[in-house]
Amino acid sequence: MEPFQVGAFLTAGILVITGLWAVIMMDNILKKVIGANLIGDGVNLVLIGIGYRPGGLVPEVTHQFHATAVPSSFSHFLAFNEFANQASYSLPFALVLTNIVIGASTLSVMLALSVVLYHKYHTLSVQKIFEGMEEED
Amino acid sequence: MFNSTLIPLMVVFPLIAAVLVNFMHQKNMSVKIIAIVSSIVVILVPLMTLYGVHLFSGHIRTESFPGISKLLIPDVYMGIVYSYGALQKILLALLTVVTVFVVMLSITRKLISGVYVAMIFISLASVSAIILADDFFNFFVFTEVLTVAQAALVIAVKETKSHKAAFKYMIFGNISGGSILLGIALLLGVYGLLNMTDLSNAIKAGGALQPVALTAVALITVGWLYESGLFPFHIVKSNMYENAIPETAALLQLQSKFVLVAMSIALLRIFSGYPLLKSVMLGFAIFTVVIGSVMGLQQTDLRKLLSFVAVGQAGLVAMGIGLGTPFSISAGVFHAINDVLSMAILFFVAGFILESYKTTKLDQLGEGLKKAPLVGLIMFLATIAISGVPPFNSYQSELRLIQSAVQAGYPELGILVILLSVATFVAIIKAFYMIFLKPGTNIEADPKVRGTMHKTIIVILIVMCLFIGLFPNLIYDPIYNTIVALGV
Amino acid sequence: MLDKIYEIFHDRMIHKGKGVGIGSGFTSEFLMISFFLIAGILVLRTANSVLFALGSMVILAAILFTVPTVFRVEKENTDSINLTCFYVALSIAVLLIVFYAGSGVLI
Repeated sequence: MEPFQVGAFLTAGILVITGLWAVIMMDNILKKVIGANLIGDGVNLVLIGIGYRPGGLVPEVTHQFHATAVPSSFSHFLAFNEFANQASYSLPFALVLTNIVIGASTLSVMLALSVVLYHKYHTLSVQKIFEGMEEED
Repeated sequence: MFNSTLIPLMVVFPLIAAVLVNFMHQKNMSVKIIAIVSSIVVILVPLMTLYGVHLFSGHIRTESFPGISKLLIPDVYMGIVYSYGALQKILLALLTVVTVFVVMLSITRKLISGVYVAMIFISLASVSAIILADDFFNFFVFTEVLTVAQAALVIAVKETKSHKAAFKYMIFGNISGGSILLGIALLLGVYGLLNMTDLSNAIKAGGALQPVALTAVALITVGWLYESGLFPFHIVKSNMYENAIPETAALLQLQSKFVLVAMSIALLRIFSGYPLLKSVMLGFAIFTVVIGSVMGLQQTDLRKLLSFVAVGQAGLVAMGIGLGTPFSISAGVFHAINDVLSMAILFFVAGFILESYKTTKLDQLGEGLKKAPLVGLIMFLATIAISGVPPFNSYQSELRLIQSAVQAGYPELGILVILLSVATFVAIIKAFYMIFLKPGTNIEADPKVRGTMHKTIIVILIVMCLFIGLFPNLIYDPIYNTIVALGV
Repeated sequence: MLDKIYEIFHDRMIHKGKGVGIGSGFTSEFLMISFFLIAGILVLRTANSVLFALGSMVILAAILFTVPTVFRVEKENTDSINLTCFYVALSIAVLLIVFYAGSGVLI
């Protein structure tokens, strides 16, 4: 494993644990929301760390590339095993992009809910907002 | 090689319908027309589609060059795969029918909301994709979309309680979504694969699971607990069912149970031959069964009672799946199908009660048989259906669950299933008595509410329950054959 | 003894309606007792048979002395977000420990 990957995974671990800590232990509703978002950020970093290769080639798709290509189709480029040994892994980046969009939409819904709850209760304390629930019934 | 083009339509068409209906928000006539046309198409597509596999963008199964790629299997799927078989057909047919019922109920109100109907269609598309997908990341994306759509459906009630329920749902949804994605990332790092079929072959070929893969199993199991509404997320799910409009709660509980089935089968396929996973699933399921029914018995509000019963029944489905033998897994899946029908009837009855009496608190209701004798009769039939009394459908599935528990070597679990049936019966018959039979009521029913649509729907559903109860093998045999063929 | 149990239930469930509510309270209590017994039997059955017999009796006696258990279960299953967070953290920890311990990676 490259030093960058080790660093990435450690940072991701710190992010996930911080996020989990914030969601479980913090009383402020916005801190819980930020914590939930931090978990997603940590997971994105894990995915990026998996796809890293030092000095890797960007695997570009050219108009000559075909879905049913066999190694001989690469003959005017690098030899296939040379290319495969040097290209960076592009799949995790697609996953990360999708996850960023998911994270943005869930963050927006949670923030909207926080605003609505703040207008109703005039406090950001989860204790006061949620523990008063039994009295409503 | 099959490449049926109708398979992705089961996901794409509801999404298109959602966009159109959302665009036409506040133009009531357009919303109604688009919703009705979309409902007809959405019911027909699963029935017309042939069984097969859809390979997105035509990426076929190719050689994996194991020497260079270090993958453990000789050939892999290069793109996203959706697979459609008998089990998926049954699940999707039922899902679309109940979704259409809920859409019809939503558009017959005075205030039609295009956004609300759009959210229903988005949740339909998500659950369809979850049932069809053979790609783990695609599966995860649609679970997240489903979380947002379900939260939106509950937020639309516009009460503070529903906002709080939706907020809790989203917070825990974020934790569990992060867990699932982290598990997928770790599996991608270890095995280099995302397709479920390929992953299961690679894990079988790879021998004992490494610590990283074990972490992935644990994290994905956390996500499974959330999506299914099992302990410790049972409170969050039951809160959602309780605070939604009852008709929508019928849809939410159906979606949760079908996601439970789909995700359990996915987990068991991928991590096949890992007995600890099945024991863990069984443990959480038993806990949920007991807590769900105990809490349900203590409730004095109809919607809260039904939501806890729904959670307990989901635990029963998970118990069947957690026992691990093909017989018990098919019994669990069969029970999911039967249970969603009876619970849907009960939630629709709750919706009718809410519309007529404007409350569902049991101590304020009473003498309901005078106002709505048909609804009372159907609720009584649904109660005995859900409790496992012949000739209705849950009898067939609970019988198979008990038999499979005894065959697997756990007769105590058979006793637990029987106790659960009794407890469910007591809880709901108590509600039935307090709504329909109890003399003296504090509230008068709204005479303008006729509830024709409600009555039609619950009659259709109870006839379906009776039909499945009398001819169970029509549904059970394809399920059993699919489970055996999957080799879980 | 049944009268005493009925009194206890009646006092705690006074706001939940009359006889019908207490009947369902009894049912839920019976379900909890059976669950503890079944769970105990399931776990102990694979061990020694003497341990199995003695253990079941001990569990049964312990439960009958702590009736009613249902109200404690109800308190642990309220809508509180903090309680759910606690159980989620506990479950994640239990899952990780069970999977690691079961595979022999931990000593």
